[in-house]
Amino acid sequence: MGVRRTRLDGWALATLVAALLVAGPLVALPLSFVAGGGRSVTQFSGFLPDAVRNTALLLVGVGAGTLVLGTGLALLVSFCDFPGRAWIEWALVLPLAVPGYVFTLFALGTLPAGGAAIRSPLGAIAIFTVVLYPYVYLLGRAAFLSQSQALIEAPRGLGMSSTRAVLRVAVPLARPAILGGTALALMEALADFGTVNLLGVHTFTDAIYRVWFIAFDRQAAMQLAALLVSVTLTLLVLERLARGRARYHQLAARGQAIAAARLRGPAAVGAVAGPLALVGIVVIAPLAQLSTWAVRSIRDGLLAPEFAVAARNSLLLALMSAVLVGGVALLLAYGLRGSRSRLTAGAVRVATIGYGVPGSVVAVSVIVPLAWLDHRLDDASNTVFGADPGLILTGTVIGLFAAYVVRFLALAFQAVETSLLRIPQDLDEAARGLGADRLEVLARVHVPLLRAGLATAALLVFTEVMKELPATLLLRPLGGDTLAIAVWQATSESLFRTAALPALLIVLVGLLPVALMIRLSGRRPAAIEPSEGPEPQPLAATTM
Amino acid sequence: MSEVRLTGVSRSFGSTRAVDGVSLQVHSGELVAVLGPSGCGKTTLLRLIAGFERPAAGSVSVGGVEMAGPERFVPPDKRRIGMVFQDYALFPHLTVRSNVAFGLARRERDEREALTRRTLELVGLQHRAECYPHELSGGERQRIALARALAPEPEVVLLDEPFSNLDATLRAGLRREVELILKDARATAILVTHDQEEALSLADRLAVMRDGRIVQVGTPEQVYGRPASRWTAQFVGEVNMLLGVARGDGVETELGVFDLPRPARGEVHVAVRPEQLELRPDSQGNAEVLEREFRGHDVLYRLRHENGRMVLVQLPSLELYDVGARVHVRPAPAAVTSLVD
Amino acid sequence: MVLAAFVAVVIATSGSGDELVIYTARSHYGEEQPFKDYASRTGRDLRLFGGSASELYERLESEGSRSKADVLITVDAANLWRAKEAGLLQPVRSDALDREVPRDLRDPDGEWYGLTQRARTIMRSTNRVKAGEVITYEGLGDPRWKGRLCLRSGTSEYNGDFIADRIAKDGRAATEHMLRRWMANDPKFLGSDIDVLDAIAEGRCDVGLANSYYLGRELAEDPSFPVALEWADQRGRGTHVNLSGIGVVRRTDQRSAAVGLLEFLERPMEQRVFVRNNKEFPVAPEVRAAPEIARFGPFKRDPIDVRGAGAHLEEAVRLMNDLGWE
Repeated sequence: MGVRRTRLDGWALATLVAALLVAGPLVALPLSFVAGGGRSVTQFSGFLPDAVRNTALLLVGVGAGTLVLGTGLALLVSFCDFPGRAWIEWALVLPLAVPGYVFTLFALGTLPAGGAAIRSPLGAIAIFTVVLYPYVYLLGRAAFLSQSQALIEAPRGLGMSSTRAVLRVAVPLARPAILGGTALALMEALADFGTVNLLGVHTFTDAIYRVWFIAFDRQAAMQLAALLVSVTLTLLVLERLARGRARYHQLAARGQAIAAARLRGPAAVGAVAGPLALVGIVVIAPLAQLSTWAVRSIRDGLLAPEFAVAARNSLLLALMSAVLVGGVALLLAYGLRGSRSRLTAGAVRVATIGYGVPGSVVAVSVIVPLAWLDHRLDDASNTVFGADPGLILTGTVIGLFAAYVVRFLALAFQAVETSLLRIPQDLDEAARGLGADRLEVLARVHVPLLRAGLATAALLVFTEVMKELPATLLLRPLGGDTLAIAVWQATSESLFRTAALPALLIVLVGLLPVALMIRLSGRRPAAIEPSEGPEPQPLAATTM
Repeated sequence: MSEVRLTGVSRSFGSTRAVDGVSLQVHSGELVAVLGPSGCGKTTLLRLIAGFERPAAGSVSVGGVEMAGPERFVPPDKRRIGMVFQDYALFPHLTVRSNVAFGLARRERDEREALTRRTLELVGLQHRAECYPHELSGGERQRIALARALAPEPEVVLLDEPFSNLDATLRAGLRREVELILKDARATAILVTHDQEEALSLADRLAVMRDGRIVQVGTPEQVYGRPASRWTAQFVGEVNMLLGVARGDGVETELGVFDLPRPARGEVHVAVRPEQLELRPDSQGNAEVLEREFRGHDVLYRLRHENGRMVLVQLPSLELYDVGARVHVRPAPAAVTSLVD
Repeated sequence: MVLAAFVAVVIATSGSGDELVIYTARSHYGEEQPFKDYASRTGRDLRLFGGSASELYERLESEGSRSKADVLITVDAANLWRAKEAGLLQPVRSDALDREVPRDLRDPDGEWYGLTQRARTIMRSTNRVKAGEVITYEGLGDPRWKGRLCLRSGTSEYNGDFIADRIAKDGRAATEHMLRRWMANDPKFLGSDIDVLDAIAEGRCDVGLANSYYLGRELAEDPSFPVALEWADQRGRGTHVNLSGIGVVRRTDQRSAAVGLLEFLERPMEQRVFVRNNKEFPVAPEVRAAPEIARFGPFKRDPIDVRGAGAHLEEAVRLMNDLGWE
């Protein structure tokens, strides 16, 4: 009989094409090493050692910092009980809402001596640690909560103290989740531009920007970007591996949930004061300071020019990207579901690496093919219609949307795919058998069941776009300045008060998905099956 | 309702031939059970009929129309085939009524409502119409799944292990109910199961499947009473395999002489069902009772024959023998055995 | 519906035909006024698109003949030169411009005109450094400033242009020698000129390098700000003066309006606004420097060699980076 040729139906084909379009620019990056002739790595050799050293330092520091802080806090709230635990448990997620560069702006404007203390790789590590530890904390906590009490009690029966039991049994068991969270934090740190730029720490992202715009060498910038993408890919593979095993562990855990030990006296005070101080410094203090500055900037007429336009642009861009990226993610996830094509599956996997890739790299990789296409399109329309529409890709928000899709697809895809995987294949087939074609299955079965997943995807994209800086900076069209750009421009001129109001808005909007996440994970970790009935639709009204 | 015809259908997954050259005809209005152990390819066979899989070879036709063949493949949504899934696959976001009406989306509103109502009445669940699936009991979900499959008046209904998720106590009653519903709807139905009791009690005909092939097709009586092979005999019910010498109409075995279904000569293997043997108390008897399994209306005894082999005997529960009792085992009057390879 | 929204936004962001689009690298803050004045005077919509000069240059180059930009404004000379070299600008001849802008502050072909002048010079703490203690750029490399020197990041155009101008005039070896001595003093690298001034004021450094107008702004806000400037190299070539300039984009379809904007911004009236608000030096000879800066006295200028600095900019950036100017 032999191996049968895989058939590509319309959906699989559309999925493949979409995935290739998204993956294309990133995959094409390494071509920059062969294209362009004369220029080579030596052209930016001067930038490389610094970038490599600082990036490595950052990765090690942020890795260790988020690992220790995130795991420690997760252990605290999972295995100990203290007054206000239920509140603190969730307050510890809030730092996710504070973009690194906003915290940096707060720190630079507040710390004595112009924040000299944090203008170093160590400062950057500290900032990334306090804004990114929630990734480790969230995943670690979920892993701990899924462990059964028996796992902790068994070694205690062998005479181990409870602390030792936790460290020797619970932590190793949760290792995949913890490492997965750390990898996420590292990717965020790697992708950051604003924080390191404001702090003057020369990392890879910064080097790409400098090589391109200070040394005027786009070719070399793309080569650097290709190198960075390979680092990101490694992290991503690590994260995938860790997560694959995490799933296994969580499935394996059964039995009575963990009973937390009641803390008393100084220990209880510490357990309350520590997290509160952390959240106070990372969330409350910036919010308060930004509010003060914002009020003063309004009073003194120091608002960024066209602030209202920037706010409107941010909202529109974020809203439309949420719909667009959510839609592409849905298309890919659904196309992948119905297809046995390895090619399509591979293309989708590649298309979702963008999240680990810094926005400036995405911008570099998107702008070159788009600009080329743009000029061809304009030529064509000149020849055919005799009309000159101008640059319809790079000259408008289309280029920016393309970059957002490349950059944030993974985020939305993950949210959609996770929910989609929970829908049994039987439902698709039942619907098909009842005469529904694939589009109807999507519309009548999946979309209603995916509402929560889609809302999560859209909201995540929404806030990410709100705070996105480097790609927006490079690809924004005329009159396309956003809040993030306003923050960056004002901060880079040390005009903290002017930066405050847009920064404040970004943080407030960023609190939305965190609140959603809290709500969604607030449900006890019972088996979540679609047969439980319609999922709660926390934010259905805000999207679509 | 229409007939279903499979001709030389094959489907492989990797190097495994899940379905291997299967031919089968299901007549209009007939209920055929495909019986086989798990992994024998019976579910794949069902999915090939439904259109969720493409055959690598052979053809599937429904009502005389080719659905899948070398040149043609009709997608599942165009086949008008109803399917009841093992876990029912009810749409969790829709009410019972909307679930049943799902396949009627293209009908006129009046017709849709009438069909939905009628089908709900058919399964006796009109009072649950506004419930969501998670509010139903297992048996109710099962009947709604059936109703949903039947509502669009399909050519064929396929049932994939429809009772495997139910309590044993519910199963028997529901089996009868489903049979009646299917007969009422005059449905052509193909049911896939690994439970021989289910297959025997429900089906008009049985197709026994093993390793991707259909090894025997027949009425329940034929398959049980005249298994074509040792494997079928053992899979469909309990059996004693005996070696004997055939002499025309009879076969002589170590347990005595049995009638043969057709004349034969020489050494043969015969399959003797436990109820084809009988016992009488005999302190000098040829066997000893090792175990007694009381099943209510009958009792299954496991005996050790004097030559050392195990023998299964099933008797009405009126006569009881104690474990350890010495008995004489012999063929029941007019016991016709089956010849097997 | 979603599609319609997309189309609407795409059209909205693609810009309309008759507005004047200005790519400007100048700060967003505090200098909208002359542009607003021009808009209200001519009834023409102006659209300012901000970004660093090199960003804008990249953008112009990538957009090529299809750019919507009509006018380019840079904060430094090297980028003016690069834009001209890349053929992004067009020659403009105008009596008004020739009258207002001195010959040495405009392109001989009229492709760009200086808008303001910016002196990059030595800043010192009034408390810890006596006047005259450091009076040359070379002098910042004196070992006595070890650990006391603050510099803005090497990514700044001002530093890049300054070093490129030195390479063009003194040669690479001499410039490298000066830079090595600076770097030997373990300078602190800060994010902006304002940070450098603040650092000196707060005692984190004692000397530094900054554009004079930043000090002017600090002094305007707080006359007792404890930093003073020292006009560098007065016995040599003079203090390095960079040029913020303006040019008409080659492919503009609104040439006359663009030229009109140039003429408007070069008028003494508007030059005064730049001086008053920004404390920069005007190009118009008759416009006086801002009082905050004028109090440091007249000084000898070393106008940037636009062509030389432009040609050596890339080399300068690499040299600075290689020597550790972060």
